[in-house]
Amino acid sequence: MGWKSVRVGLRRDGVVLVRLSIKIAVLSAILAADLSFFLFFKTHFPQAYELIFQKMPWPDDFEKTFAVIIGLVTALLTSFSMVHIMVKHLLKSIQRG
Amino acid sequence: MAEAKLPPKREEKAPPREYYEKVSKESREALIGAVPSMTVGIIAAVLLWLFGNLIFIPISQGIEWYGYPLPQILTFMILVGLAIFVVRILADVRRAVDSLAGLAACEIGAPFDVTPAEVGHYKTALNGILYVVVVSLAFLLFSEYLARIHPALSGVVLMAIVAWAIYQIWRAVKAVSEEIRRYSAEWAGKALE
Repeated sequence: MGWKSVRVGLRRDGVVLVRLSIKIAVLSAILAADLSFFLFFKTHFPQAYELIFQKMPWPDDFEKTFAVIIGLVTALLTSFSMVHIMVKHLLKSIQRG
Repeated sequence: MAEAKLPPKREEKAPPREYYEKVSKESREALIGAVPSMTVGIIAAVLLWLFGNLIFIPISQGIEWYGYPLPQILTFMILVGLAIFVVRILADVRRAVDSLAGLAACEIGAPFDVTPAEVGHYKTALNGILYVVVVSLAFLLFSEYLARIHPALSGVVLMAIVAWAIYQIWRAVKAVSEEIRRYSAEWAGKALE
C-alpha cells in the first residue's frame, strides 16, 4: 500500500469520525434540550412551564399529555440512536482491527 | 469372577473435520452479529425504564387524558416498549447462546470430534441458564409497572417465572448430565480396553 492510499484512507477515516461526532453532538443537544425542558423548567421555573401551556389555545391537560408523550419518545429515539451509532462504529473498528 | 462389562461404544459416527470447521466458523460469525444487537437492546430497555420511571411518570402525575390518568397510560406505553425490547433481546440471546454452544462443543471436546447431539446438549444447557438469568433481570424491569396496573399481577408473574425457571434448570442439568455420562463412558471404555 502506497503512501497516497494511506493518506486517502486516513482522510476518509477522519471525515467519518467528524461526521459521527457531529451526529452525536446534534443528538445529545436534542436530548439535553428535551430533558432540561421537563426537569429544569418544571422544578426550577414552574410558572414559566405552566405559562407555556396556558398560552396555547387547547386545554392544558391535552397539551401536557402530548408534550409528555412526545418528550418521552424524543428522549428514547435520541438516546437509542446515539447508542446504535456508537455500537455500530465500535463494531466496525473492531472488525477493521 | 464376573467380567467387567465394557460400556457401549459411541453409536454416532464422528462427523468429518468439515463439520467441526463449519460449526466453529458459523458460531464465531453469529456471536459477532448477536452481541452488538444485544448490547443496543439492553441499553435501550434500561434507558426506557430510567426515563419513564425517573422523569416522565413523576412529571405526568395529576394530568388526565379524557378522564384517564396519564401515569397509567404512560405505564402501559412503557410496558409495551419494554416488552418489545425484551423480545428482541431474547431473540439475540438465543442466537448468542446457539453460537456459544457451538464454540463450547468445539473447544471442550476432543479436536474435530463434535457431534450434532453434543452441540444440542450444550445449547439446551446454556439456553436454560441464560434464559433464566435474562428473564429474571427482565422481571426486575417490569415488576414495578405490573404492580402499578394491579398489585397482585407482579406476584402472579413471579410465581409463573419461578415454575418456568425450575423446569429450565432441570432441562439444563439433564443435558449436562447426559454429556458427563457420555464422557465418563468413553473414559471408562478406554481404561478397560
